[in-house]
Amino acid sequence: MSSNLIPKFFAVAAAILAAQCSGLQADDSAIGLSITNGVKKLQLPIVPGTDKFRILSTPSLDQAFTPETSGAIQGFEWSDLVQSGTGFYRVETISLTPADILPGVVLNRLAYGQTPDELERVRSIGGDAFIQEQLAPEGIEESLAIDKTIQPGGWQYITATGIATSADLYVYLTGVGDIFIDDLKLVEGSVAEQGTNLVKNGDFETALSTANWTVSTNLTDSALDGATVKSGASSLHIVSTSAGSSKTSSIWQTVPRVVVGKAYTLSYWFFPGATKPLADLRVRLSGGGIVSSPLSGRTRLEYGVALINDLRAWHIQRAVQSKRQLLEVLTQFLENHFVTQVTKSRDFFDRFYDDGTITDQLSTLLEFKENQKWRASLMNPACTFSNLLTISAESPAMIIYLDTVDSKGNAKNIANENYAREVLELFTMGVDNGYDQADITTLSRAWTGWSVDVLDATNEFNPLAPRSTNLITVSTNTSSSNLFGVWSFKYKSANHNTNSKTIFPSKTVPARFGAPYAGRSYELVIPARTPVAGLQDGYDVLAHLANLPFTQEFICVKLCRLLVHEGFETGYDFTDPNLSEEGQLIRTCMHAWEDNLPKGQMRKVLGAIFASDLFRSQRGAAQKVKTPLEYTVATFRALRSVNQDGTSTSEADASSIPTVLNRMGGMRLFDRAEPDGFTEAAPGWISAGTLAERVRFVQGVCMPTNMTGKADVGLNNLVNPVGLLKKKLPAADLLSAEKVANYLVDLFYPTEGRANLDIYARMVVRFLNTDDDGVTSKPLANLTVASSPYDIRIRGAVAMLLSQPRFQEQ
Amino acid sequence: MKHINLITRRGFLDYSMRAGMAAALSSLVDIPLVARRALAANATNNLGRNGKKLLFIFLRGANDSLNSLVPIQDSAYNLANRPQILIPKDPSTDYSAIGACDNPISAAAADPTFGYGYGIRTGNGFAALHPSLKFLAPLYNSGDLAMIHRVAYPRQSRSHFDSQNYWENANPNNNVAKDGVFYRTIIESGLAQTNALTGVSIQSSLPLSLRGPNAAMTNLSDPTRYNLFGIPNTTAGNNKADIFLREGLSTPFPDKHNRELLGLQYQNLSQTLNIFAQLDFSEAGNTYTDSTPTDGDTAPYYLFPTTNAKNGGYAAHANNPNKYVVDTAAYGFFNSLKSASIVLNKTDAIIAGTSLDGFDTHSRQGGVTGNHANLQRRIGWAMYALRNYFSKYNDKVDWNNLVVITMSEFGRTSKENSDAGTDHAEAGAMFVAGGAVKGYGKAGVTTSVYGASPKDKVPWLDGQTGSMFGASKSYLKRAVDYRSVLGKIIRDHLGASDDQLTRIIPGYAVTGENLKTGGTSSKDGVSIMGELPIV
Repeated sequence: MSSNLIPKFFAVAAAILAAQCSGLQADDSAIGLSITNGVKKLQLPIVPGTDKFRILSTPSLDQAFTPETSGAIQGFEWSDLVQSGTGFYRVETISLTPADILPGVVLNRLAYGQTPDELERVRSIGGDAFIQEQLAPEGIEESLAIDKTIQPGGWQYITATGIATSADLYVYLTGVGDIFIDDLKLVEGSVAEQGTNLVKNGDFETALSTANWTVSTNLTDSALDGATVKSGASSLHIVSTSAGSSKTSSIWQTVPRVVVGKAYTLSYWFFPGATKPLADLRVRLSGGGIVSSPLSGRTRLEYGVALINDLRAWHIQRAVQSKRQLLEVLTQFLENHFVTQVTKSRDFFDRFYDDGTITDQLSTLLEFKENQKWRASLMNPACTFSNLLTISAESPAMIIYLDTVDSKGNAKNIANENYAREVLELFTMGVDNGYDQADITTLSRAWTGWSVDVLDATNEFNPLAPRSTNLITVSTNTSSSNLFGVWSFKYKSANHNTNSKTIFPSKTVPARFGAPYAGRSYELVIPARTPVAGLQDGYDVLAHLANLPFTQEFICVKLCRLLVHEGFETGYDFTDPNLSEEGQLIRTCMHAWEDNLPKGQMRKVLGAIFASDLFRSQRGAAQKVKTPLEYTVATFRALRSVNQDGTSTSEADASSIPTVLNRMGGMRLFDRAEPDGFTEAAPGWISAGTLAERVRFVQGVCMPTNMTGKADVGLNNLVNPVGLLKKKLPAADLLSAEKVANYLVDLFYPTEGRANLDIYARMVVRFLNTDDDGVTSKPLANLTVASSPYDIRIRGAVAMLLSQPRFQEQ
Repeated sequence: MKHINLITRRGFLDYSMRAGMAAALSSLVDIPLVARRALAANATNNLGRNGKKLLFIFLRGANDSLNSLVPIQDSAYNLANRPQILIPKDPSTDYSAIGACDNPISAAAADPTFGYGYGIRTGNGFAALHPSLKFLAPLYNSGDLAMIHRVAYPRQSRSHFDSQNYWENANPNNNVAKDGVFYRTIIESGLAQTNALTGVSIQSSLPLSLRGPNAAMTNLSDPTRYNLFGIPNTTAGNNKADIFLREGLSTPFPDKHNRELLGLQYQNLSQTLNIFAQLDFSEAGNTYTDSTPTDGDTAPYYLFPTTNAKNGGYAAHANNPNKYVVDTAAYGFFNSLKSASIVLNKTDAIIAGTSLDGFDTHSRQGGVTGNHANLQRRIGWAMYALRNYFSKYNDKVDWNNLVVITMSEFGRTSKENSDAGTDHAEAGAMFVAGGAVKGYGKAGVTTSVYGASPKDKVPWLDGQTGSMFGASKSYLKRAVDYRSVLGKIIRDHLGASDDQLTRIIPGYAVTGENLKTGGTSSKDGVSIMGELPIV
């Protein structure tokens, strides 16, 4: 070691660098040099996207700088033993290029985060190819198991695996109806029908008796059936007169030899009955150990027997699995922009129905239809904002949500202002952006009559059609609850205010918008109309609002907040020569909106955003924080590599996620009380309490199934990070803490740059080489890959990385 | 280059974070610039150090204050304007009488809690309380309550979101200011640099009133879940997870839009886990009861109704729902209110609060009963419960050193719409409670109802062209600026200097706004009453 003396000829250092070519970033900050105990240290600059540092030195400024061959970099510090001689130092930061970061950016903006497979694929095809692919979802082939629907008629084979929490096996329907079931078996382990069948009389060849099955009173019409049979001489025809759930409302038995805590697999054949709506079967072992629901969530949604958590689970599962990721991102954006609330619909239906299950199903169906309409519209290459605005305005969920449903403008009635205000403030123009209170009051009268009612299915999209007269039970009861039909948009002309209406009187587009907008009059005169013709008032307003420059500005701002960063506002002076880059991007988007006909094509606007430097550079990358939905979905995706057989290394139990989203800041999908939708801005989501929930979530997801705490976020959220590593790393690397750390860090933070991640990678290496107490050294290399300690070590490291602040970002 | 400054700032954060990890609960070393200035300018900074605390309840959605603090003597408060939601006059009551507030307790133990179905005379000669606010009466009569009507701000926004922001940033019509009025209060106190817990909210997200760039306030949505796991989930494994999580937090990174926010809030998480772990937020721990038999009943009620069994006299009267003190959907709110109270009472936090949602009653609002009435019951019982909790279970603060306020973004239209609801309008009402309040009967105060009387400095004008319809034919016109109410409390209760107040509420620095003394507002020419003698 050298002496403690500090040779003064080392005390000068400089970092002067010109950006000579792309990939090199200039930095004119002074680089701190210190010498202590014979070690010299350089503090390296902290610059976004730094992939590598290069240290150059020269003994004198009249000689060329040459790369340092000795010394080592750790994090943002270079150190070396003090040698003799004078020296000058220069530091080069070699950054990721925009092309390097684009895959990470697009997978965090056009998608719900990277999967290991997609990150490889997009790095290979390039970010732009991914953008083009995602802008045309109709060209992406997709058939997901979660979209499979079961049609009435024909035997279906069902299996389900889980952990027993009791030995009681229940069979019931969730409502009135009938189905057939046959060959019901339960075996230990995870392979159906392998091993001894434990169920008594599960083949339904002998009459049900308390020796095997106990039948509750709501199911006493059930009986063996010899006509619809899967095997043997008979099946069980289940006939239910009311919803089941427990021992007092099901066909059940206590299965001998079932041990609590062990895994079992259930299997059976199921034949959907003929009644409408489709009866929904449950076969369940224990409280929630194994729940088999043969109608997929999608089937229940299509047939209107789904509850809101079915819709949420399906919507979340699509976000995890779909290849049409941008379509899913935009569907959620529209769902949230044109926000509606399932509980408001349910409260509305409570006026007509006594059965809470029916009101749940009806209100869920409205949300599902809306949700599907966003997807269908976005699949159309020429989809415009006007199309989307019209879908929202005509949606029964919206008509109920913002109180147009009962609003009257006839006679002396004062129309409800709720929708009129929010359609301007939140859905089109933006707050106080070109309208005032008088406009709201006038506009509120245009919507009067827009209501909902039960119409015959063939009239679902005809708001002038009469109310259904098709009775469910033959009686004089013509109330809504006794009508066959569909709750639909219905125009009630008697409620309409028939006067002429002038909205935005004498208003012109302000100068700040510049050409071609500035100075245009945007007054809208609606003539006096007959009550029936008054339906047109609303459509006149929609057509007028859809392409106003204020609307263009506000919608482009919201899209940029979604896809670039949060720092966009309405109110730019587009004529200002010093207009910010954000303002310039909005202007570019507005021109893409205005200049292509028909106006307002979503793909044109999105294309303008994706082509912008703000989107593609470090100024876009990791500048946002994930919402709870994005965070949970991205967690599953980050570990999800799909195998040939369709299984994967990361499976979400989407039915458990709605609870998690609620804990993380009240993100109840399809049930937002306030019409502004969930925020895109970080301060609305990030607090100590919500971060604790986020950390608990990833820890719970990453736990193996038998660990205490796993149930907190759902026992069936199953990730297998060791399985992922086995697929992605050579076998020899699995015991190398460095190789594992580098793989994980690059996977989770793809736009950060390796140099900037150096400390994280070293931290993971230490984590992997440390025993469970966090202190004692116990190298990864000494473990066996197939062992539980190795599995736990990897799971712990993954959970630690996913709970770090950097993974909160996107 | 731009990022250099930001890196410097990150440096500070990283440093203080490490210090925070090491020092666990308190005694951080570094002090942000804002606070340094505050400390330097105010060697004898009293703000936040005088033992006084504040609890806020934000009534989100805009409370129909005309049916809360009812102008029952106004001739235009009538069935023509409010056909389905009117709060009726008690035919046997002279509402012009001056004196104490009527207190309609249930005469017999078994009588319904809310059996009285008329406006409750406040005793100011003009205004009445919604009957569902009956539990405010005992507070008022012991001088612990001020009620202020016609509260708003110049150029009132009728957007929920903008108007909530203005109330919370105390900067009307300023959407740029992203820091909150309580945040700035705490920054000026200098306490954020020595205490991990200063301002706390118990709701789904940290409200703007407590947000700001230089220090983290704390928000918990469910205090009973505020702890972390580990893998493996053993004590040793938990330690390992914690050690590495904290190590990761102190890692420097280049600046991005949200990295300071994330850094501060993770730091706050790390520093407050241990503090909250020592408090009992459990349902089993909710044993707080009234000090005397409540409301004419035979036994004291639970203060925080979080289950049916703890909801008024329900359980004691054979599960009789007429003996509830609040509706059964209120339990979430009372859980949050209980947690906020425990935090104020048991920690060094000086400001805490929560929100009460559901006030956007565009349709089917209800009158004496119904949606709006249920919300009033929550407000009334909350105030009553807080008085008793902080009087009977006081630890770090007692009722006499506490002020509780309600805030709401605006009032609602004085005329009912076609859906038996009301739409967005202008001025609303605030309730200010606490032993520290100078209310009715204290030191010669003859009424602590403000802004709801023809005798006010800015008088309430009767009739169809009067105050109720003062703006745009159906909007209550402002007579009090909410900033005058907040300013009075922050200075005279929490201990801010006039100088500090100009930074906490920027309007106080603008002479023409007349927030302290009252007068004509330079912003829109409307006469306002200025500060009221509420504390």
